[in-house]
Amino acid sequence: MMRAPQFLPVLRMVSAMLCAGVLSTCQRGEEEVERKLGFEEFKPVYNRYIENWLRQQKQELAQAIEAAREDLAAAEDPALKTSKQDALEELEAEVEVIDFRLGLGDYFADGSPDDIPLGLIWEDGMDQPEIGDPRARKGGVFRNWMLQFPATVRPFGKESNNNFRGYLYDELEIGLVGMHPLTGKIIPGVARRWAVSADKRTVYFELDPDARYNDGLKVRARDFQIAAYLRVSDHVTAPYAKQWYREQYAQIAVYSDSLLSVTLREGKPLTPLFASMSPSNPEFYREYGADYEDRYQWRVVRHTGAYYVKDSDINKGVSIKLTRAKDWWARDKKYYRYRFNPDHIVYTVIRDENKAFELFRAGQLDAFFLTLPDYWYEKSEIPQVFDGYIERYKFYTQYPRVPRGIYMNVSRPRLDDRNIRLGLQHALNWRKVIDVMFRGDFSRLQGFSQGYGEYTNPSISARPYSVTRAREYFQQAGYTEEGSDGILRKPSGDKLSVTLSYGTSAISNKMCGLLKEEAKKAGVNLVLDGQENTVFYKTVMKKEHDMAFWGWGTRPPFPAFYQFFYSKNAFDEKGKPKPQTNNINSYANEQMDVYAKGVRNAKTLEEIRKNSLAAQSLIYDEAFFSPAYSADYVRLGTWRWVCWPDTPYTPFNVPVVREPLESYVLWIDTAKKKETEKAMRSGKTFPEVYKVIDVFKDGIPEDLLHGAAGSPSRKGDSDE
Amino acid sequence: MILRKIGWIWLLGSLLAGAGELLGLSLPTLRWGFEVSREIAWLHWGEEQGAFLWFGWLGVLLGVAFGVVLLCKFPRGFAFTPITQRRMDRFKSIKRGHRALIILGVLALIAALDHLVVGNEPLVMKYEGKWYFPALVREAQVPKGKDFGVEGDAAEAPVNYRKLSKRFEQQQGENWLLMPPIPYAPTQDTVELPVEKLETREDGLLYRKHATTPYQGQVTRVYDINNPNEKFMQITYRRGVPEGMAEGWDRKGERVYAVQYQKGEKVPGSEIWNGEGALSGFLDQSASEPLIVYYSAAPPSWSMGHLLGTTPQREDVLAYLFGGLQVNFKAALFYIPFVYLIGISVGLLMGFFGGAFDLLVQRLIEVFSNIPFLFVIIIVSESFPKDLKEQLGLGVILFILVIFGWMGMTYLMRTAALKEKARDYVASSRVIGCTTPRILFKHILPNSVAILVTLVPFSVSGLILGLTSLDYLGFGLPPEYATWGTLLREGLTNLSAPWLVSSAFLCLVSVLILVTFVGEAVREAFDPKKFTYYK
Repeated sequence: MMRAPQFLPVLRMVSAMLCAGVLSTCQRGEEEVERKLGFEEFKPVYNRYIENWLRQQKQELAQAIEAAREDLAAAEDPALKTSKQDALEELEAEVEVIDFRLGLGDYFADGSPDDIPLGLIWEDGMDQPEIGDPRARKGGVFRNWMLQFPATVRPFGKESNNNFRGYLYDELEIGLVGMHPLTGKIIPGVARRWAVSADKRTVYFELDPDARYNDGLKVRARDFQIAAYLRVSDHVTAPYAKQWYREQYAQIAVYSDSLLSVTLREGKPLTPLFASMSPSNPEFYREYGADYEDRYQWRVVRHTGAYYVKDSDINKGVSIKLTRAKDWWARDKKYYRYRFNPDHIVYTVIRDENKAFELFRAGQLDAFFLTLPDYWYEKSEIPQVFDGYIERYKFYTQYPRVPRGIYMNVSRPRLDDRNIRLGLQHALNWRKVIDVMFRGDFSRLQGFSQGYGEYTNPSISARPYSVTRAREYFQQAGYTEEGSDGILRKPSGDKLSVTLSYGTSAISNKMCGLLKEEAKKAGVNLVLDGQENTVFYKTVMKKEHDMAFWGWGTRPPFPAFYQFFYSKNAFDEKGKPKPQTNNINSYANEQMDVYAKGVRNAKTLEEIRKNSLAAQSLIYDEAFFSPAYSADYVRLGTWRWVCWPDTPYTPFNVPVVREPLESYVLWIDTAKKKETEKAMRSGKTFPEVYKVIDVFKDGIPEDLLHGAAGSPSRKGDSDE
Repeated sequence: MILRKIGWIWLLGSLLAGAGELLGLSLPTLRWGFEVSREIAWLHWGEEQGAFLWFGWLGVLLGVAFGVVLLCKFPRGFAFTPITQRRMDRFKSIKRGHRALIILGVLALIAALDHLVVGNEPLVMKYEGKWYFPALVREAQVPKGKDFGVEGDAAEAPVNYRKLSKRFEQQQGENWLLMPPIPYAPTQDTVELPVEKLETREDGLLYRKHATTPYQGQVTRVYDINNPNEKFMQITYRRGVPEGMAEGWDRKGERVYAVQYQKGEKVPGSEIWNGEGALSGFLDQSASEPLIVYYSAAPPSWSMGHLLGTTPQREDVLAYLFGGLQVNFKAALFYIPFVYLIGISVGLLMGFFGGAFDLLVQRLIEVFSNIPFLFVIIIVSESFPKDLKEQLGLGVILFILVIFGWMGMTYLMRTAALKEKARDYVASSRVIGCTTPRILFKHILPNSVAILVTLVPFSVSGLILGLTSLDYLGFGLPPEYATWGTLLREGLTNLSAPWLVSSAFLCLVSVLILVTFVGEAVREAFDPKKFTYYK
């Protein structure tokens, strides 16, 4: 075991040498050939490729439809018939999409402003409330930490999908449009106004004349085509992005330097949001080529966001420092002017959470999450808090809750019986897990899709732990006898034992131990299968688990069902569980297919709501997901000089936020910092601060949502 | 004569184990063979109730045979060879080692008492005029709460004797029960929330017992002190008075009340009440005095009933340590004979036969011993089927440890065999026609085994350390086993609960030191030179 740490630096050194080698050869190459972006050459090639690909798809679909028709004619069983009919309709819908795309013309299209249809309704989204607090001051340094140094700082390509990219790109970059974190409405970004076509597939955007990259270069419409080019080019390994741009987008058309349109394969509600893209800086990618991944490994893109990173501020393996662009284009725009306040944000690598907390205590870090009860009730009951140097906040958020819990694989023996699943629902004592491990501070997750506001089915609540009811269900499933070890069994001797797989961590080990202890009281033996996390991920993706403790990442605004429960993702042609899909319940049900597709292909919000509620009650009835726990708040400690907004619309923070730092509404009060440091030296104390901000506890209040139009800062100061 | 005593112990123990099985008793430690046999499908024949537990009976038979062999080999009046006798005397004269051995023996004895000392089943219970011995009698069915008058959802679950004991006390009837001295099972037994009472002194401030400064921290009041899960109020105290936020919950667990305090006084207008009925009715409810409720790890305390505190998972630390000690002894008991059997045989054969066999095995050992030991164990133990691992638990880990643990002594044994086989007595026994096995095991082995005896204690400490590090890294035993490594890891992530890491560390270090003392004494006793010094 001692070898591992010695081994890593060696590897790093080797890779550094390799990189150096590559770079030096490139430099030599540069003398001979002039490097350029290569977009103009790529455009016709890719357009042709997409056209051919669509034609080929169409051909394959035609054959598939033929076959499906024959199947339908041959099917006699009515249940089979409807499912075949369903499959056929799906194929036909796909043909419609492809016909539509073929009719559109080039993928990367060029046009003139006259090509934009007349009679469009243009929106500018300026009637939403401000984000942040007018008291916010620019300046100061915000010191944060990270557990691991990112493997690369590129925004795309190999290994770029790491945890840190959010801090560099996703939460900073300004796309065409954004979503208002309070009202959920669309707000302008790089685009000043936008309009949706009648078929809801195409969105026309007009760029803000002020829009610049943070190196000062003006954003032009073709930069969005370039953004797509960079990601689909053969120079980069990004299979998912390639598929995404090929399949989800139908066309990216440029009409002038400031006008463009993005066409999606299907119309959706909130189309502008789905069609929104971020531009790519053509000047920055001037050296783009086959060696992109190595060449750009440690260069942070100059994007449209407020912060950039100097090359010298990337201290590999140690820290990354972000610098605020002083003349940022959006600094006076509504929705952006009170955010992105600190001059610098520093992320330092600290490999152990306990150590990070100690550094926070010592004032070396400005903020620390105290959501875990241990940190909140014990570790942060310290003099710095008593004396008011560190302030504590508890903030209720409205982010979709992670559907964390136990997913039962219904293709497995025993678990294919609904009675067993129901019994297990009552045999898993989540209440005790919450009480013992989280001090009763967290709440029980009630269902699969919580925290989506009106898209969450309010009538669903999780089944409570009950030995009696669990035993009743097990009895109905035929487990009528009890062995001397207290485990139920069938008269044939079949013991009621189910494997629970999970990725090992301090928390999950303890938790599963508790679940096992409690499940035994209900007569069921949980075989614990704690696996190393990567191994666990593979096991689940291969569908080799009985039950898995798992949680999916969530994103507002709608719950998703298609990827998790659609029958196509459950079994392959041979009837075996299909690997590498997200249907980890191996669940196939026609009714669910209808709902899942209903949500996915909905054209109206009402359609989404109806199907989503129905899907949730079906999930509840089928009992293959045992919801675990969730915290509907974040707890945070920050040093006194870190200030938070306090306005009606931004009380402490915006509601739809995963963690309070990612909205960039805080600011550093340098005078207060000096005052505090002086006070600490002289022993002067301040009153202790503990604030609970529960404005968003039960959803976003109506008056904030709808009183928005009457807000005084309605017109905003946008530079029109 | 110690060996005769050991013989008798084996003989009697095995017979008792057999008798216990026939009478349906659950005797400490002695039940082990039959338990394993009953649980694992391929260690018994036939269906559950009428199954023939061949493994258990085989154990009894072997135990009896071993006892008898010892008794026959060393009849009354048997004298060791003078050399052996001298070694034994010398061992006894090294006080440090001798005492360490005695302490270890006592520890082993306590560990062998098993669920008579540590467990969540009562030794004796009297319920409605009938006597029960839940810890000692093997039941065909796990007793349920309803068998002893428990109602509600707990009626169908296996009975919780600690709660039952409290009920009996409250009822003040004829019923009573006697729990073992430490009434908690080592693992898979979450204890009730430990609570510590706080006292208000004459100055009106809140103090912990025996504290000199007023209390600062979280204070909880609960509806019923016997059921601390139902919170009534949680109040933050600073310098002995409420300061800052206080929150209240109704009996359904809904947060209904919040108020701000400043220097012990409610801040006017800061009260928020959204429960049913009047606020004064809520505040005047009968509830416990201010308490510290330990939701996470509780510190050692006599009054809370946890002498060494509890883990963050709410297991009793003392019971957990005891479980860990048992695991270590059990492991040593199986590991040492197997490892030495393999190591000695291979080493002897290498030395005796030499040539190609020797070369081949040497290379094999080189390959094996160059593989990083822990890595391999981690990989192998990860790839073992989980249900097998859960059933056999310790067995699997020991198996892997044995596979990778026998190389150490082969070279010593090989050297000894090389040396001995050139001696005259080997040549002469060959001349009179002894077979190879006889020469090997009757002549060479007894003459060279002395080197190995000195190694045993160090193998034991190596094993304990190995098990601990595996568990520390999280690749060891399933969670049903208490292990010191797990506790150590737990303690290092919770440095604010120093009793975890200190108790695990102390136990580990003291057992290792004891074993090492024994080892040093043995080595010195077996040293042919009488006067040597450790430097």
